[in-house]
Amino acid sequence: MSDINLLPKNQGILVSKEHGIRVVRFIAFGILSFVVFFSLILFIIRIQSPLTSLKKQEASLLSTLTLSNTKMAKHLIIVDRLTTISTVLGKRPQLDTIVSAFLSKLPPNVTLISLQITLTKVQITGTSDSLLDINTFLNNLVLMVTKKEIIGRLVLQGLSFDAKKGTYNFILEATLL
Amino acid sequence: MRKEITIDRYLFVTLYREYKVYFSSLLVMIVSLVLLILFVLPQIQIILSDNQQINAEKELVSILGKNVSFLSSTEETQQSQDFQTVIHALPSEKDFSGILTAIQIAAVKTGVGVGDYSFQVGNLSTTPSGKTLPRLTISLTLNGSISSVAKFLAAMNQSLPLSEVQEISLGDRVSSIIISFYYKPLPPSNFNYSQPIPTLTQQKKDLLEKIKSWEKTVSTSSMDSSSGIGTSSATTGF
Repeated sequence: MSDINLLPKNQGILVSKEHGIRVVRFIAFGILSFVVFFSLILFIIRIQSPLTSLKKQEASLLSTLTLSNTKMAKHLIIVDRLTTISTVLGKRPQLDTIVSAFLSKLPPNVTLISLQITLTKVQITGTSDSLLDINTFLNNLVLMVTKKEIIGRLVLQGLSFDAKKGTYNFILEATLL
Repeated sequence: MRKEITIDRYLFVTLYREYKVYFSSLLVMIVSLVLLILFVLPQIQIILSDNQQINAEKELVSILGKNVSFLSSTEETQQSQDFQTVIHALPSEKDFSGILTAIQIAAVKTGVGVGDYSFQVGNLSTTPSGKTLPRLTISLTLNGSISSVAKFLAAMNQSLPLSEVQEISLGDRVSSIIISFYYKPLPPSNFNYSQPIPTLTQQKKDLLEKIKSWEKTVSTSSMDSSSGIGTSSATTGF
């Protein structure tokens, strides 16, 4: 017994073609839906973006700041000047303390004739009727050098005797630390 | 045996009749892809760059907000006083009268007589530039003992405008000093609002208080010397 094919050969081709058409239409619809959906999402994202409101806020704050221009300028100048003042005070040599330090090391019988201080060195000219007192003064200064207090080097440039007055004169030079 | 295909009008017509049902779908796909490439993808790029801009804007708005609230919380009277103090300490230009007043007050306080003085003014026509702070140097002759001159130097160290003693030549009766007074021109007022306003640190606040205390001493002494309490004002030569 043999099977009889009731469908003509062309009918099978037509069924597979319709299936193909459906698949292609589905893909096309899918792509279109994807594009539409994505566009909608992007549109919503852009609508809800806070950029515009931020820009408005920025403009409003800037206009408020412009109104406080003087206040801002004054504040910035205060901060800037205080920074500079701090630097100046930090670097400023305290020559008055140097003078006081030398005066405090001076024994009662030694008189200072002159005291010259620059930013790097000190020159002391003095007189005394006693060599012992000059020695005490020198020892005090040497102790300052040893302790690295204000001066780093001490040179006795001259020591002379004034026979008329009966006094000893000395010239010292010290290098400031 | 190879079958030959002839490309002619009939071939296209045949192909069209065979596949015309697919054309509408194909057209939709092509249009969708074109839309995707021409509009959707650039929009994504715009949104991404917008996000960066939003972050930057948020930061800027936050800084501006802080600056506004800082300035609105700053008391104007107090700020003006602070401003006057720092300008007194570091004038914007060569403050001759301020310098002479400071010297006079220090002299009155320490009992030192001020003799001759000379200013080394420098070029008046040019504005100082560079990193070093401009200064006005003055040579002074002082009449008084070494210890009173030392006190004068200490008083000058705590007076305004700020000064720095460059050289001292102390003698038994007459001494001379070279002293420099600092000044600083005002900066051009081009603010960058997007930068946070620097606040005063505790260290700077302390410094400000210290300078104010010097200023108070100066103003008190100034009142005293103007009321004739000072003894050496006659010898100051001002």
